[in-house]
This record gives sequence, C-alpha cells and structure tokens, in this order.
Amino acid sequence: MKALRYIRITVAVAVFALMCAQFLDIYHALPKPYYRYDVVATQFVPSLLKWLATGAVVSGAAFITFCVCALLFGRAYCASFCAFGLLMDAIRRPFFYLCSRKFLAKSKLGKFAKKCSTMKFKKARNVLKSCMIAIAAICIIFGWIALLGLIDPYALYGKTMGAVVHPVVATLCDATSAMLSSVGLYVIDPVNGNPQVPLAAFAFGLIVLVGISAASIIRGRLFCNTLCPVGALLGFLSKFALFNLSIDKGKCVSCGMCERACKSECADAKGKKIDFSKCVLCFNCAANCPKKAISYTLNDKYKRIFKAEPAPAMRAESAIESAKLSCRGSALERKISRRKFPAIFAGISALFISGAKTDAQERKRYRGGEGAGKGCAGKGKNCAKISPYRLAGHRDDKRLTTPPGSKSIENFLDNCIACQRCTAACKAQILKPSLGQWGLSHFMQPYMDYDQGFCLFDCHNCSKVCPTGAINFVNLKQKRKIKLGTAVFNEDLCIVKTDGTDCAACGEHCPVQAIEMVPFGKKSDSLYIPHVHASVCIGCGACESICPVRPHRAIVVQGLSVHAQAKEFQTSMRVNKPKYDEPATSNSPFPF
Amino acid sequence: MQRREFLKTAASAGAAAMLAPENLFAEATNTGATPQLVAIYGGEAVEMFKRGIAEMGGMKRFVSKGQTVIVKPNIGWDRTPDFGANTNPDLVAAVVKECYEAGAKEVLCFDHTCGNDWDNRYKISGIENAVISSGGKMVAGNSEAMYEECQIPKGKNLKNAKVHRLAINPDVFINIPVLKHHSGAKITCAMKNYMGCVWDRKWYHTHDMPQCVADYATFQKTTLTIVDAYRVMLDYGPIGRSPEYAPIAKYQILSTDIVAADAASVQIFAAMARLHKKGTPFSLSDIKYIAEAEALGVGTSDLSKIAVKRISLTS
Repeated sequence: MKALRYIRITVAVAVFALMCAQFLDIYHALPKPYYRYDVVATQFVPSLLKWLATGAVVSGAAFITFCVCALLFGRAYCASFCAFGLLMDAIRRPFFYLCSRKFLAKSKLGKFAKKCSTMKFKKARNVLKSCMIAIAAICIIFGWIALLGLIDPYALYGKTMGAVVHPVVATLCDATSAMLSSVGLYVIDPVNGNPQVPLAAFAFGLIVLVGISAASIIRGRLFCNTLCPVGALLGFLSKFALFNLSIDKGKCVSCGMCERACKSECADAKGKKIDFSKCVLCFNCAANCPKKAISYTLNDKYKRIFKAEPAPAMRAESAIESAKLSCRGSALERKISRRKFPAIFAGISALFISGAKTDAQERKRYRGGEGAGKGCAGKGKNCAKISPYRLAGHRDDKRLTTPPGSKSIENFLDNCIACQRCTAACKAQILKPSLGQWGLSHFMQPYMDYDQGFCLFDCHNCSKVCPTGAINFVNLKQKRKIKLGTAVFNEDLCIVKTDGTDCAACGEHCPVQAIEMVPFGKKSDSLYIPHVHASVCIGCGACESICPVRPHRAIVVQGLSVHAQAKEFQTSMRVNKPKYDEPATSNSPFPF
Repeated sequence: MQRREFLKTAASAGAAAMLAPENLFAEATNTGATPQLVAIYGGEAVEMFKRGIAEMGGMKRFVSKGQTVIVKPNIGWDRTPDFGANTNPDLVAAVVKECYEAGAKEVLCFDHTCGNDWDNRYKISGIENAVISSGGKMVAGNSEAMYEECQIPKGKNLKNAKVHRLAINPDVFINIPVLKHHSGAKITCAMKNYMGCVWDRKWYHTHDMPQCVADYATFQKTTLTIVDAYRVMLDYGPIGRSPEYAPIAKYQILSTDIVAADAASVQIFAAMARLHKKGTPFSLSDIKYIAEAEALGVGTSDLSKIAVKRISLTS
C-alpha cells in the first residue's frame, strides 16, 4: 500500500510542477514540448468544456477517463491530477513540516499546526454536493462559464496562479533586476511588458489563495468535499466503484491512525469504515495503518456478483459488466432510498450537459456590456459585425477584441473558464482579467488591453495554452492573417492636423502596412497623415497602443464580433505613389 | 586563463607604451588630415568598417585603455537582418571587437525596442548573438527603472527626459544606426536612433518630434557615429514589408559629426530611391530634424565645411 502512495505522490509532484512551470514562465522561455504534451489537458472541467466546444471526443479524454476511473477505482483525479487539490497539499504539507521544526514546535503556531494535522471523520454533505453539481450543470447549460470558473477547481487554481503568483513573481524579478542593474550588474533581465493585473482580479485571487490556505491547513480537503462540483460528481460515481478502500473489521483495533492521517476526513476508525465517496485516494490511511487492516480491494457491493466466477481471466469482462451495472445504479438494489437521489440527479445533469452544446449554438443572447446595444460608431446604425463592447474612458467607436483563435466574441465568452493561463502566457502581457469590460457576469475573463501594449505579430501563445476551446490553436501563419478588428482613424484628433507636426507613431508600428502615410496640407510643410487600409488591418492594436493623443486616441481598434480574414497589402492599394526623376549619372558612387 | 590574459594585457600595455609617443606625435601633426567624415562604398559591412576606422585614425583614437564603451545600434523591430530594419549584426560584432582590441574594459549594448518583446527583438535581429560572441554584453532597455531623469539645457522643446543609464555620461558612446525609411521622420538614421535612449517617446510625438530629436542630440555625448547603409530600406519603414524593399546598397559612413552623418545619409537614401524606383527620394529640407539640430549647433549639414573622405572599394 505504501507503494501506491508513493506512485500517487510522484504523479502529483510531476503534474503540479509542470503546471506551475507554465504559470510561472515569466520570461516565456519554456520549450515547445511543454505545450505540445500539455499537462493541463488532464484537467477535468476544461476537458469537458473543450469537448462541448469542439465536439471532438479526444478533447474530452480527461473527462471520460476520470469518470470511468471513478467507476473503477474511485476519485483518482483528486489527489493526483487536480491542480487545485495539489495546491492545497502543496500548502498543507510544507506548513506542517515547518511548524513541526524545533524552533516553531513549542510556539502557538506549532501547537495550532499540531492540532490541525490531526484529522477527524466527518459525515458527507450530500445535499450541498448535489447542489454544487446542479449549479455547475446550470452554468454549463446556460453558458455561464465565467461563473462556473468561480467554483471549478482548475479555474480557481488558475486564478490564484495567474492573478496573484505570476504578477507577484514577475514584479519581484523586475525589482531585483532594477536593483542589480543600478549597481552595474546586468544578470537578471527585466520581464516583458507590465505583469501587473487589475486590483479586483488580484484581490479575488488573493482571497481564494488565503481562503484555500486556511481551509487546507485546518480541514484538509474541505473544499473538495463541499464546494467542488468535480469532487461531488466523482464522489457519487465512486460510490459504485469496482474497487475501493475498505477496513478489515477483523484486523482493525480502532487505533485511529487512519482517521488522523486522512486529509479528506473520510476514514471512520470507530465505525471501522471508509466513506469512499469522500476519499481522494491519497492512501495515507493505508500507509499509516499499523495492523495493515486497510486494503484496496473489490467493492463489497459486487462481491456477491463475482462469488460465482472468481477466475482472474474473467475479470476484465466482468469489470465492463459491472461498470454497466453501476451505470444503471439503482437497478442493483430494488429500494430507491433517499441516498440514491443524488446519483439520479447526477445522471440527469449529465444528460443536460450533453445537450448543452447544441443549445449554445442555437441560443441567441443579449448581453449588457458597457453601452451595448447603442449601435456602432455612435451613428445609431445596427452593425452585427462590430463588437458591442465598449471600453470605459475610450472613444465611442472603440470596441473590445478577443484574442486570435477565439473565432468570435460569443465563442470566447461562452467557453472561457477564466483560468488566467493565457494572461500569464501573453508575451506582450496585454491580456488582462476583466472586471466589467465584458459585463460583470464575465468576471475575470480576459480582454485585450491595448493600453498596455499590442498583440505581437509573431506570437500565438494564448492559442497554444487555452485548455477549454475559448481560444483555438492557430499556427503563426494563420494567426498573422486573423482580423480581430479594424483600426478607425479620426483625423480631427490626429497631431498632424491639430499641431501641424510629424508623428506617424501608428504607421511606424503597423506590422502589415495597413496604415499608409499620405501627404497632408501644403507640399512645403512636408507633412504626412495616416490613411487606414481597412481590409489589410488585423486589429492587433499596435497603432492604438502607441498613439500619443489624449484623452481620446486618434486611432483605435474597433473589434469584430466574428473574426475575419485580413487581406495582404498590395502595392496597387497605395494612395500615395511617388514619382521618380532619373537617377543622376555620375561616375562617382557618392551623391555628395 | 588568467595567466594568458595577464600576458595579453602585459603585451598590449607594453606595445601601447612603445607606440604612445609616436601616436601622440602623429596626432599633433596630422590633425588637419584626419577626416571628420569618411564615406565608404562597395564592400561588405565589416570590410568597409575596417577600412573606414583606419581612415579615421583607428579605434584607439576614440577608445582608451580601460574605458567602458556603450554601443547603440538600432534594434527596434522583430525583423531578421535581411529586412534592413535593424543594424547589421556583423557590423556591430566588428565594432565590439575593435573596441576590445583598442583596450576597452567592457562593451555594453542596448536599445529601447519598439514593443513589449524586447528580448525577442534582441535575438531575431542577430545583434544579441553578435555582441555576446564578440565579448560584449547586452543590457535591457525596456524597464523604466533603467532610466534616469536628465536636464537638457540646450533643448528647445525637450527640456528634460528620462534617459537610459548607459547613455548618461558614457566614457565612449558609439552610435551605430541603420539608414532606412521612416513613416514619421521620413528617414531615420543617426540622430533619430537616439530615440532608443529615452523612456517616454510618446512625449516626442506630441511635442513636435523632429524638434525633440534635435533637442536630444544636443545632450547626448557621441564619440563616433557609424551609419550602416549596407542595406537601405527604401519604403514601408521603419518595420519594413519584405527584404525586396531593402536592396543592398553597400555604403557606410563614419563620422564624428552626427549631423553631417545624417546629411550624407539622406543623400545616399535619395540616390538609392531613384536608382531602385522605390520609396520617396527625400531632399535634405524634408528631414526637419537635421536643420533643427544644425540651428542648435550640434553639427553641420554642409559637407563642404568639413573634411570628408570618400573611398570606393570597387575601383
């Protein structure tokens, strides 16, 4: 049994390290395999969402695997793969280790830690758990994925890492770099862009982090057996697991070692039983049992069925058989007790979930983003193509964009669980968690903040990392052609017109020649003013981010509701075609 | 390693000691003969630089033993060298090596790049590799902490600015701009390259950019300007559209007068634009910052006033 525990720990450490590496990659230096063999693909809810979004069963591999796994072995996901669960363990274990050291053991903190490290059996809260599954199901059915992101363990992990740990680490690196460089040491590089996130997002992440730290230290996997919808669903499935942990009542002396060590409060030493629906399969109980009374064997429920045919060769078949049986759930026992109610509920919600995808496609929703519905460009016309989302403090015709690969605003908002992975991966650090930009019901779903910089022409990090299908993978060649929006130029605000001086900051930064500088005013002034080739513009925001005019910029990007393809710039599109006099014919190569 | 290094320094010190009096004498008598501007045509970038720096009196004229040299190429854009958007990395490498040979203690290189992915731009331009392989160091320019507030007493619009720490009172400051088209300034070269030394460039754009460029040139100590016109981007600058718009021109200018270097570069640009029928053949008066800088007494744009040496490597 100790071996099983070590295997669990090894897998957990590997998964957690790989996952954190991606969120802490502040220099964006991780090699390709980190994204090609993506560890986040093992996460339960993102995989379900991606399955629903893309319709490809392979995207739902993790969801299917861990559901089947729960039916066979129990909640193997929770203590080995779940990022949030591992974060709790990563806080709990080192905390107790530190508090048990000599210098702390005698202090109040040490005593508190010692008290906390002894767990006690608690009864399962089935009503609460069913409610959480119901909430999750409703969120998926109605497309409130951002709200699902407030209870989904992976999204919560992402929020603490992306909105708290990543910005803090990056800012610290920046500060160290600045300190060292002031004494002439250029050892640590400053990070790209501005890593800081809006205060609301940071505060939320911090609350989650503090809350989960306290909960995990005091009550272990409290979250997993109360608020977590994944834990609840897998818990109900694991009630019918083929194999489970059980206490041999003959060997057990009720010493309580298992109960103390159990981080999910599911081992009952007095009653000599384990509530397997709460068990996260950490194997601490079995490893700690001095009498070796805890074993991982065939579920008692099924022992009757297999009694007649105990041959090992038949096991595989019978496993499938039993899985089928367990799916039917209550068919095994005639009585439909109140306890079975949650299982039926889970079954029904699963049906709803499978129907959610078609719903999402057909559904038309009217969102109340800032100024939504007032028509586009302030002209009262109703343009379906232009994003309805305005940005506070910007021009009326400035509209929000979504990252390349997200296809449309609807697709993005319907599938983004707000895990902040793209905001951490964004090389320019312009993807920021939103507060009200998409409306409050889309809290922390990222938006492209062109005040911070622009979407880099040669970067597609966000599309590489998104685990839910909100941003689909696009390669660099495709990404360079995706039109997120169109630059809208207002000549009356432009410095060239208002001040009569050169500027062209926008034209300078445009990576696709969508902004041409055309002669303006008298020829002797030698002034040039921007002219936008709208069909060429990809909406990357380079022009908007660099435009020096305040309070309202002379050029802003108007996002599209549905992404389009940008045309390539052709020389024939030019407005200003220079004329050439004959080159001077002289023997000297020098014109001066 | 240490012993070898010691031997090297000892040997060079000895050589310097032996040559020093002669050099001093040569300097004293040949002042009039040393050109203020050397224009070279017709070779590879490194080849032209070797010839040019020899004509200018060797790197030892500018770099003394134990000095720290700051090299400021143009690394603004995430473009490969064939776009001509950044300074030729081979030339930068040659300059760094030459500085070390002249006895520099350390050669540092930086630029305030245009975009949030500065490290990417250092790499793609090939300049990071060029500098590091020649023994120099790359310093980041993207963090505000690196910039210090400076007064620009002679400035007309730009009275103060946040300047990169390396650009403030350097021992030796070598400006290695690339000559190319620029949508805002029309042509960017030596003085415009100094926008990569300041933090807040938006301020320039809102306060008459050409004037600010000229203002900053009054402040920046420049030991030597080396204009890389091996490839000249004639249109769609400063990013560039494709290598097709940056034909190989094979020019290089070395000058102690930054305004003269810019003036000569503009004429090369115009000649290339006419020759390749790409871009606009701007005249000297179109490039406003040159006249402004001349008015502020930074240098002269009249090449007849200074000693100019023209060298063609083809004949």
